[in-house]
Amino acid sequence: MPDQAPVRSSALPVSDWQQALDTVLQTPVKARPYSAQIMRQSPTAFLFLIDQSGSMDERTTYRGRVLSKAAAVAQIVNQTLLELALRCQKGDEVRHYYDIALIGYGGLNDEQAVSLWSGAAVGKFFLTPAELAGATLRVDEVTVERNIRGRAVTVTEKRPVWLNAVHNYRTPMKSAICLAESLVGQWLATQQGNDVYPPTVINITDGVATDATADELLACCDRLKALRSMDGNVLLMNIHVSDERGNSILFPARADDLGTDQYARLLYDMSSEMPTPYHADIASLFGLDQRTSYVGMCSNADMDALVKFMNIGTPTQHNHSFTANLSSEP
Amino acid sequence: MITQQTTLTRHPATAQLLAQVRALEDTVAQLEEEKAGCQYQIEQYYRLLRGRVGDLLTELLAVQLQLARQRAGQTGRRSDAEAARGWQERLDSTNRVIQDAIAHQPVDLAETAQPELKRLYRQAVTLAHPDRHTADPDRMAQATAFMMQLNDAYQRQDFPTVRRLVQDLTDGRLFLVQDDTTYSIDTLRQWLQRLTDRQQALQAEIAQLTAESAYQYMTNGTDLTAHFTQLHTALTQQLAQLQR
Repeated sequence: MPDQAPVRSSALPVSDWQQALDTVLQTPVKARPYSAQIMRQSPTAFLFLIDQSGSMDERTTYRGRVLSKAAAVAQIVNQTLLELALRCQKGDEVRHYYDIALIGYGGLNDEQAVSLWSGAAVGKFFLTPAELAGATLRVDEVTVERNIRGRAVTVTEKRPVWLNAVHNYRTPMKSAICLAESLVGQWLATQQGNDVYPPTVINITDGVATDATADELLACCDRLKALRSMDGNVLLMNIHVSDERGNSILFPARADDLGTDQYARLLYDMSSEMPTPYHADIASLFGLDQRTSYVGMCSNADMDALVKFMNIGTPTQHNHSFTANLSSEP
Repeated sequence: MITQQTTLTRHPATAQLLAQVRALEDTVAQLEEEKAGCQYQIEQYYRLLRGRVGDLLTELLAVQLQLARQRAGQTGRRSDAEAARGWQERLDSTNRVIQDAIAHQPVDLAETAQPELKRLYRQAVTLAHPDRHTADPDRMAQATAFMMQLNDAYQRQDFPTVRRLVQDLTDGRLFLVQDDTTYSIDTLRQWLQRLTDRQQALQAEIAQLTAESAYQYMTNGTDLTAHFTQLHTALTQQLAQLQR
């Protein structure tokens, strides 16, 4: 059973969605999982869990600048959210290909994970891509150099900001995972057994959970990963961002690849094994050998690795498997 | 008359290549023999190991496997399940190595027969090496099968079998060894390249084999009686600790 009461994010009463979820979980997974088309009638979901604990104020380097880990993570997440919204834009219409949740843990208190949407979306957990525009904290204007027809041109670009760089308190990661479990459960229930691409949960952290033992945290992760649609199980990907001093371990195939690092082993056990359609992209983006399995985790990752990790977990230009599943309807 | 001269006179480039091929064949045969010697030492170590501590080692691995399985069952963690599979693989591979070593029990061989055994082995490797027969798949398959028989007999120091195999080969009873003077320049170049590749591969394999601790114990003057006694004590202690 989840460690916290279900969060109301859907119109269904709790007993109804629990019943609907049980029905979904009784439907067997189809023969070729992770192949569902992502369309308006059958969207998917992305949940970003962001560690906002005090240690996220440590320095790191991103795009040649020294800044806090919280600031770098915020930049990368904001860019990812913008790309997710842009992928849904067809002419003037922003199509509902997915629902997106942005959860922070540690920024406001020691115990509870919270939804980070602001503006008109305060209190909501999932937003559609169209709703993202109304949920920004602000829109920054940045001056960048672009190469246009072989000439360097300085242009001003608008950058919507949904996530601020926050670093306070401790690391209630279990609370965030349990919240994700509850949200994903409700989300699956509302899909009413449709063949939807399973939700993807990306957890970005820089430390160990302070609200649970390793076993308790693993139990939460196992429950989350057990949720599924008929297209496959929820994918939980974990990335531990570092100050670039340690050895990075990216998408390992076996626990033996992690050496004796107990924290890396915990992340390994928490994370999903990546489905086969992702393998070619992982090998190509991270320059890894083709293997028969990759576990969706990175330990001691720098910010460049985080960018690539986000590219694997979300439909970007670099992710051929997701791009193939994304609807090509006119 | 002119035609006859053409067939009898070998092009200098061909002659040079053929000389290079033959020299390299000798080197490769020496390396094959060296590799077989390393394998013999390693297998000899495992034969001794099996005699002195084999049962204890198997028992220790079986206990480790049992504990790892218990832990994996309790925690349900992926890494613990992998660890249990790792112990199973270690147990299986140890059993396999020991079984292989027993299957290749060496024959008692007089020390004086050693140089002749080596000479025969090298001669056979030069004539029957599969790399020599890449143009003919049937012949290559025969050569590969022959080499397996030869290596098995050589590692068991089975002088009569090695001698019989070499005799069969030179008499043409196994397969006819092609006359290397009929090869074209291109064929000789390809052959030389294959030999060079094989030489490099053998050097790497030998480096790997000689780095193995089993080989080191057998060749660096280690007192093997003391070594196995020490190992027995350590394994007994480890087993007692695990069973507590």
